[in-house]
Amino acid sequence: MSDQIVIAELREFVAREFLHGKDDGLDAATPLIELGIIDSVAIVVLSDFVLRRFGVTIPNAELKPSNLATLQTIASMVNRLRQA
Amino acid sequence: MTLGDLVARAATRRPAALAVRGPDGDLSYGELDAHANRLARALMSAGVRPGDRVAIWLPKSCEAVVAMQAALRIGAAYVPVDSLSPAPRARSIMHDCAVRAVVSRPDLGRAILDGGDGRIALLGIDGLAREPLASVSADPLPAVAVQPSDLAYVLYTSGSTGRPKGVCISHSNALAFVNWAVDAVSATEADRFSNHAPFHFDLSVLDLYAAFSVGAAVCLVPEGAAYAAEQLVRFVREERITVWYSVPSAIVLMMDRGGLLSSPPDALRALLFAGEVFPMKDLRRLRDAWPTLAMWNLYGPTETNVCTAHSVGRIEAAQTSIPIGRATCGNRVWAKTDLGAVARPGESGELMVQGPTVFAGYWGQPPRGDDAYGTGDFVRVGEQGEFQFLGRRDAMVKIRGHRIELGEIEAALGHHPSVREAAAVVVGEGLSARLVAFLGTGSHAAPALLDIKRLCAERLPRYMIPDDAVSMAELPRNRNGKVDRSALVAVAAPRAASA
Repeated sequence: MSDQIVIAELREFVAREFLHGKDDGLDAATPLIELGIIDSVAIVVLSDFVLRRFGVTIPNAELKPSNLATLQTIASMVNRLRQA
Repeated sequence: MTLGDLVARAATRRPAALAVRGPDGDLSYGELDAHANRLARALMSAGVRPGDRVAIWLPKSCEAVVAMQAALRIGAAYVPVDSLSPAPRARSIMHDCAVRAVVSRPDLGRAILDGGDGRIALLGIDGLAREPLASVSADPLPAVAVQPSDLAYVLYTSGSTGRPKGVCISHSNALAFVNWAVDAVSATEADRFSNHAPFHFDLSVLDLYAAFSVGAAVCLVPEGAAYAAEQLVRFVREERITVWYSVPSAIVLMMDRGGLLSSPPDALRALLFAGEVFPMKDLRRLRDAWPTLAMWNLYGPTETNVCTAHSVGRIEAAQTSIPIGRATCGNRVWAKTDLGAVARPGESGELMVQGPTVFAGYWGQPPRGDDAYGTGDFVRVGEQGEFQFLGRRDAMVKIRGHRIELGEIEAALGHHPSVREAAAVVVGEGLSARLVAFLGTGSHAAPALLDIKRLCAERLPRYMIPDDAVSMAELPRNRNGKVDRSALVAVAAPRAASA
């Protein structure tokens, strides 16, 4: 699955779940943690979604800022884990 | 005795014993001691002197603990900054207390100092075994005379006016608390403390320094797992944690979604909580499942660390709340009535604290001396003199233990060109608490939510960034002409519930 497709799915999920649908300005590079869109509680909700939608379990060691910072980095991580 | 001496003492007695387990590995007391000396030397070379402040902008890790110890050893105070906050926020804290140096990852550190005036030295570290630390001597430093009244750390907390507020804590403040905590839980070197709270939150002071005081181990909960229920429960079981301390939200999460009660971890012997009210129905469930577990409700603002405590015994059927308890740490604690008198049993008033754990002062303001501190919390005095929390009268609220001055958020929101007036409200509690910003924008177009978040992220801690923003021409007002906050909460509630 290309990064673009994963990003699109993640974007729709993040917009719905964390932004109340108010996604103006949300793109692949928006800093999700810095802007408080993803906090320590949201990480768990996001992991659930990734498992349900992409069949990928995110191991604890991967739940770090460098992987969760943007839709792009999350998508890259998801695709990397899918291939493993 | 200083906070740095606790580790040095344990390193002499038990150099091979585990001191810290973190996402970046394990450190024995001997290793923690040696790395602290190395980093302390590096800080001195970078110009840090006794009395200076050193910012620590690192993820939760053994490295961060080393950095705190290093600052203490040269008589400097450390300033832990949330490593996930954006650079402008980190910068405003560092400038507020004029830090001399920041310990961070090389790339992160450069980002915060970018465009700075070059007066703050960056110590970029990426691994304790690597340069620049690897070639620095680990020998003990020449003794630095640190007085108990010297500052150990500065914790930044929410202030009502929009400017960051640095709470300055001395070695003697911290030790008065640590010594009480060690005694209260009868800590020994066989204990294994968890550390759930971030280092910029004062719950972490118990985790680290109670462990160091007795030569026990402290196991750091990785940042990503802080609210991952199953992982937390697995952590408690596998690390054989004996003393757990956190906000109630994390404990309730472990109960509801992590299977904590299905088979209570047998090593756990004490559960401590602070920062928010523990919902009674959940506390009752916990006590029923675990009749003999020692449980403590600890209370105190950052300015006093823990000033009262209550050991939770049996919970009676008709009980609707648990007390915040009685004075701790040698503090004098009383409730001041509206008329300024000391409240007697049955009366209520503002909780006042005076004594060894009361902070030295806010950074940039005159030292407080021995003045009593008014917490702004209202309490009732029970029959036996124990305190019962009633609530606050001002616009300070708490979300999952984090203190939030709504005025500080409103001041930040006011910086947006379309916003004439703003009001922030909290909807919900515990894990479902949400911050909603209401914006009076007149005839201007409604700002996008992400723009509002970006604006706030530059000025506020992450946990104070609104979850939602609702724009309207004018904010509703009550008969006194003040913004009608309960009307706003009513508007926000159904929206939050459907999210």
